[in-house]
Amino acid sequence: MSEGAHLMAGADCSRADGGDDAAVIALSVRSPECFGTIFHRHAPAIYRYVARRLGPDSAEDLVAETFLVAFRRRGRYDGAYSDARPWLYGIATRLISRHRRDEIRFFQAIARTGVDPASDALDGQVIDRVAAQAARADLAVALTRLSQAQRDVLLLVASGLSYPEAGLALGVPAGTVSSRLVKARRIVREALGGADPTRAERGQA
Amino acid sequence: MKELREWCEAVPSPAPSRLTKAQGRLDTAIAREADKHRRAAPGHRAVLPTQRRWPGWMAPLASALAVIAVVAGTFAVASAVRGTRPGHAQAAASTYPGLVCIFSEGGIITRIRDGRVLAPIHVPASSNGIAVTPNGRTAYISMTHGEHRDGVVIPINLATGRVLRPIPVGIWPSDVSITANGKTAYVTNFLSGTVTPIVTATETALAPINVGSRPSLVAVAPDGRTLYVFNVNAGTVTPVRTATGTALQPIRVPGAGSGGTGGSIAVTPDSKTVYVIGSVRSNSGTLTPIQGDHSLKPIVVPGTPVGLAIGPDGKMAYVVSTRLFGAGSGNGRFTITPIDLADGARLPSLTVLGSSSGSVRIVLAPGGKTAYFFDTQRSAVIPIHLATDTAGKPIPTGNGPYHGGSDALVFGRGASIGYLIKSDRVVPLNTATNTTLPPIKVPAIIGWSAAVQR
Repeated sequence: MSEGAHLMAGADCSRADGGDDAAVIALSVRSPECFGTIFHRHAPAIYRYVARRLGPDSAEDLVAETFLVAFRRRGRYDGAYSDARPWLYGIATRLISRHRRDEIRFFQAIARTGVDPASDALDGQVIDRVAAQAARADLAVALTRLSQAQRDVLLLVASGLSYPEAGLALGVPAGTVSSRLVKARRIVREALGGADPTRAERGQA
Repeated sequence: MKELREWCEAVPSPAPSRLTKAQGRLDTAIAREADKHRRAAPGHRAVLPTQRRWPGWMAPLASALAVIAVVAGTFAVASAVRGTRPGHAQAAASTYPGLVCIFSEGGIITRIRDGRVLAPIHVPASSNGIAVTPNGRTAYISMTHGEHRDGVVIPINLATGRVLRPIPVGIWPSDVSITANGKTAYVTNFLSGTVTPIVTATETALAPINVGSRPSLVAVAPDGRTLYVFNVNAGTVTPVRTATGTALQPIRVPGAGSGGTGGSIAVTPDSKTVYVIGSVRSNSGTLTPIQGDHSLKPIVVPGTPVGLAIGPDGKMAYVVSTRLFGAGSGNGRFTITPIDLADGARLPSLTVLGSSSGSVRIVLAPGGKTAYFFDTQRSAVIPIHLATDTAGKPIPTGNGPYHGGSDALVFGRGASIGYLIKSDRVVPLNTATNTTLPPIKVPAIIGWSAAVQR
């Protein structure tokens, strides 16, 4: 951040820190420096969402793009929504859709090798918990079988957004969210063992 | 859906360094905007402009220059298109691999033979796996039929482009592998836990063979007698005798599959041993040899192994490792460790800086003198000179619309030109000079397969 921006932020944005996202964004229209608050509040969560879908390396760039787009569009933010998360997740999701093939490839690699770069960057002591998640190859392959719209809905909800919030993020009614979820869940459930005749390992032909 | 939520929650919060770049870019945009606001504010006195402005008379000239730039750009594009043929300069001494088939989104198969693109073939679906017979006559693509769970394999006559009758296989078919003699194609059925053999002469499927939970990777021994199937959920390798279609008992690989990390599998050229990487503890890996129906003592490798290549003489293995856990993880450092397979001795490692994701990280060129490491973040391949164990200058491969970077590198026997297959292009790479030729553009790639003399 430039010196000037730092100084301005100190002078102007103190009111923003205590306010909700809508207030901060409204303030940032005239005092752009205040938008930094939105980044500090939400960048880690957006990063985790993107890292889950595209891997940690791509996440760095995509988080940057998400907040640049948000910053440019801050003047059009609807102040009726106090929480900016659906808006930011929506921007990130649209940017991810441009990298659809990367996402599929990322999931395919997890399905083939069992190596999950997004969650493996954990501390060593957590490895057991991660190891217990033997379902990750199944989840990864199931996600490659979904349509982009189904995957968006499923991963937004799994990342902690409510149905209405997911609808807001994607610009569709909550009813559409739930109907897409039903289909997406059916496919994922199937991958998670609903239809696996060889759940117990068999060695004989 | 609890599993999915947990899967999302398993992504750790980013280290501050992971957000530095994003914050920096936002701060720059904010500072620029704030500056604009200050200038626009009432009472603001214009300070001396720091940037020179174009005088009015320059504007027409500037647009004329822009037109010239566009025209020049067009010429560049035109020459790139012409570049889909082998250039004159390098044609004499260079040889291309044989036929390579690229499967793209929208069901398009692009055939590339000796550096030339043949007319595309259209198939009515998207694919999971593709393989081409060694004689280059037929391609087999695996797919799931719409919303139906059962999968099919579709043979395509590559000479005529005709799509043949679908062959029913198991649930969610993925990889297709073909034996060196081209007689049998094997498709892994991910959800069924089986492998379906397909007799290529008659295009018919034999009874599926049970292999284990979630078969994901397949390696066919060069002699064609054994198929090694890696089961990602079970962390096992199931050898399948191809003559009788019988599966042996699955062999546990320490630290491989979803229970640990790893899952890269390679067979020695003499077909006697298959090697699988795994990681039992954080940042401590193994290379497990499997012979016949049992595994041998694992060779310890540094860090968390993520990639594996075996030299053409079968004497050396090259393991790519990184730190996936704890301090220093994700710092873009990869070590390449040569291992003498005769006694498991580790030779001095070489460290390369880069970022490599996906399942392919290292490929050996024919002759075994050079290995190529995929630096996906910088969209480059780094040549590793194995005799001196030194890294050469990164070779840029161009930045496609997708971030995934380089995906594969395919060679033919004795061919000096390899194909780098990535994102939306096939880049011919001259291994003698380590330079690339103009890329061959293809629609967004889903899979590829080559019919090359190995």
